[in-house]
Amino acid sequence: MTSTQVGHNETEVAHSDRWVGVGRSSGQDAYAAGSAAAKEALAGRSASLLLVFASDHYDLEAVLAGINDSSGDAPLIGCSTAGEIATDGPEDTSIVVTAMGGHGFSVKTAAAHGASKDLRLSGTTVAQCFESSDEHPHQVLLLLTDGLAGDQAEIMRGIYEVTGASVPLVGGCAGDDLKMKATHQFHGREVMTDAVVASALSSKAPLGIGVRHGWRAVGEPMLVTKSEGNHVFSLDNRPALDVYLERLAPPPDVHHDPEAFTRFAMTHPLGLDRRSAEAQVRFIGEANFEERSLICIAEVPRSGMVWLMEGDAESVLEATDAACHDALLGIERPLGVVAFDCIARRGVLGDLGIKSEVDRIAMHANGAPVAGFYTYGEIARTKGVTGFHNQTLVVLAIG
Amino acid sequence: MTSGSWISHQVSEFLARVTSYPDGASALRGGIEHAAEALEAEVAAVVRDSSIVLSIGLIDMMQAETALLKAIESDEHLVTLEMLGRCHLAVADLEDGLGSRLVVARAGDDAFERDEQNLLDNMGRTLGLVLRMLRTLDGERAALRKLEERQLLLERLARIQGSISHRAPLQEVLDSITEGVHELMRDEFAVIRLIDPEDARFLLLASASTELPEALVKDIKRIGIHEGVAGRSIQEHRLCIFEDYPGSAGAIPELVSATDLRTAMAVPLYVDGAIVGSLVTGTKKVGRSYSEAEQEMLKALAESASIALTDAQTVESMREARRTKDAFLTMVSHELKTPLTVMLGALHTLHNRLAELPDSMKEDLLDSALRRGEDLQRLIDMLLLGARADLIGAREKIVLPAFIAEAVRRSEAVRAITISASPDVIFWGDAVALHQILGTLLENATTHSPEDSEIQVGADVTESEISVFIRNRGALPEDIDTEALFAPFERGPEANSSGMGLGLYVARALAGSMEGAIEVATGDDTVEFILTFPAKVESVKDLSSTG
Repeated sequence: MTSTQVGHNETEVAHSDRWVGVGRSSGQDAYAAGSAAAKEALAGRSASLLLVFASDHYDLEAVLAGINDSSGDAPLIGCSTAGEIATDGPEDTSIVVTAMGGHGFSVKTAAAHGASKDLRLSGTTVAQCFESSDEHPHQVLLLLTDGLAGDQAEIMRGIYEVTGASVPLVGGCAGDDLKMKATHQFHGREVMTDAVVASALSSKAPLGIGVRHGWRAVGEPMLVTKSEGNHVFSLDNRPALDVYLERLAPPPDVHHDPEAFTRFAMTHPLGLDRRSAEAQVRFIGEANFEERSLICIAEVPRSGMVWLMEGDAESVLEATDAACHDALLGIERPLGVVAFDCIARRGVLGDLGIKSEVDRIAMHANGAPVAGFYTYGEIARTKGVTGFHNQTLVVLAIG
Repeated sequence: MTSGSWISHQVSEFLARVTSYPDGASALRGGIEHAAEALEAEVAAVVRDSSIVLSIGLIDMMQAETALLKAIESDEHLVTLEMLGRCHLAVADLEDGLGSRLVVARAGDDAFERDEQNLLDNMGRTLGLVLRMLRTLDGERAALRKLEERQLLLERLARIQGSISHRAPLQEVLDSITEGVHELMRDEFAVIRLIDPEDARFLLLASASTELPEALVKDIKRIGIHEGVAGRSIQEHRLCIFEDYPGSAGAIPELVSATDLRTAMAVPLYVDGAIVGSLVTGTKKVGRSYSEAEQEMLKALAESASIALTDAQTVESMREARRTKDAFLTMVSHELKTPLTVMLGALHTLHNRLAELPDSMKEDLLDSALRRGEDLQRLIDMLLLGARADLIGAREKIVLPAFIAEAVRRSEAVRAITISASPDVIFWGDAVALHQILGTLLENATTHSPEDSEIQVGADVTESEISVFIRNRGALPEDIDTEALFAPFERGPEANSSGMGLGLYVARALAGSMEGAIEVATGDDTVEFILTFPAKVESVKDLSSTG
């Protein structure tokens, strides 16, 4: 494969007739900021697909109007975030637009509303945009979901019913700056909540996916003695919240303040006993102080074994390197890199650490533009049937 | 990386998950999903009788399915599947009592370890146990549902029977039946159709469940006797089902276009063994089929409808009989009292003023009392004859020409009566009854014809039957029901006698007692009454030759 870098700075790269561009704006006016980010990513070209990650402090409909008016309503999916990532680093109140185009890509998009009513059905609905007989050999199904809508593993199962093992899945759950109230998904000019949006992306060049978390199990395992879906009621036959707080001895406000609890739990997830060496991590999104239960972003099976997990800056950054390495295997020089990075990792790394993390990703991108956002859950299915992760970094490399 | 404790925890998780499903189908799907997730396999399937009955990860992959089945049958542990490439296979018996096997396939070089095979074996046993348990539960639930449906049917039938017993209005009972059909069959539409009593070529809509649109009810109020599934069930005297209603012969187009009716079932309704209508249920659900239990349910409800209709008809007949009896008694008492009053009045006058009355007046009073007495006697005789016609039957040898001549003579008509034909035959018959009938018919002819017109009497004879006709000039009104002429106390529109309207009623009753009949025919300015009765006829000549 030959590749040629064109365009300006590090915001766009093109390989023969395919290109990827990234634009960012932190402007105050929503429409103008959307328009500016889109224009920077497009650089006057027509895009096959726009990926939009925006802080929910903006008027999101105005943001999309600005972007669509600039792109001529090119196919668009996107979501609100818990922080946005671009080549120049992470930010909290910006708009990042990734544009890709040229003859080597083909794209279809889909959206499913009211996901929480039937998560599996929302998965099968958006999966309809995927066609296995697409003209290009390399395909992924890009997904952006509402992590607050319920057990995200059900969405993955619904998608798997339609696509089987024929296409890798990649993406993340939208955020709302840790307010944990409502996240938003974008499709065209539409701003939705409780939705799933998807784009079937196929390319004539490889699309690589890397997925790592860097957390490790600590202490004795616990038996999940009562759970329903993502709701954990008891561990070792005792109220789950009590066991969790006793084991970790957090500051006093974590015992009763929902926001303090969520901030604390971000860096103290649960790990599930799985076949792979790296345990599957579950982000604890909130606690029910009356029921004394824990509410995770995805299913925690009854009768399973779980551990408390811990990580540090070193292990998390090692995972960043490993994820980028996995994604870029077989891709000599990528067109662009998109990162779906769990908000909890940001909690471990701190503000300086996350800048360092994005720099590492950019280094692995080797001059290709970087985009992404901080998520409430990550999606990456490259083998097996499961594809939903927590506290993890998922990297998509566009070759 | 696996271990003994990992396996036991995985089996516990698996058991917890598959026992959380409400039925076998979802437990099986959840089970294979969980097996694939736990073993990080891309494909999981249930194989039975050399075919894949359920799978995940195999989407439109004919090649993959064929390759997978071939590898399982030849006990291979490696298979190449389309889209996935080289895969390792693991197979375990799914101990579900159906001979199924649980299969997982994992892409790449990562072969299944011994512990993983153990885990899959345990999952197969666990899932099989759960499936057998759920099958038992499903069976019990089905039996329970059946019992509940039976209970509902019995309750509905009891309510209907109650309303029949309490003499609820027929419409209310029929509406209760259609609502019962609607509730029990869970179809959108239920109707009762009855044969139009005024024109049996049509069916009327007698009751409809509330979900039938009002405008449509108006459109299909009256349909042809052969139309719809109702018409078919009436025609074929049996329960009929239109599985594809729009495509069935006789489907009602208005019903199809207005309701999108897809399937319908109808069963006939009976009163005293005769079909009087049909009970119908119908739905717009695609692919609806009616189970035997549902067919029996509709028949049971139809039986109730038949009982209600029979009961209503019986009640109506009783009411009619009572009305007739009341009218009869009113008329009889009036007709008996009138001559009796006149008689008593005349006799009282004679008794109280015998000495002072002139002879001519005494004679008039006596004449009047005598005539009224004779009227009274005739009336009583006729009532007794009408009521006890079956008791009459003294038979004697009758010479037909002589008999007709005698009847004409007895009539003492002041009108020309011509005997136009009277074959020379002899028969055995009830002379008293026959004289009574002919006398009535001659009097009727005299009463209903112009004063100067002629009356003709004649007879036709076959070996086994005699017909005597009495023909007079005149006409019957165009819209007259000739049967009504024979009803008690009916008098023709042109009647100019003082009769009570009992003559023809009695005459027909007498004819009936001889297994005969009286019919009315009209011709060109003529009215003819024909008495026909069976008789073994012999000619007079034959009798004389044999001595």
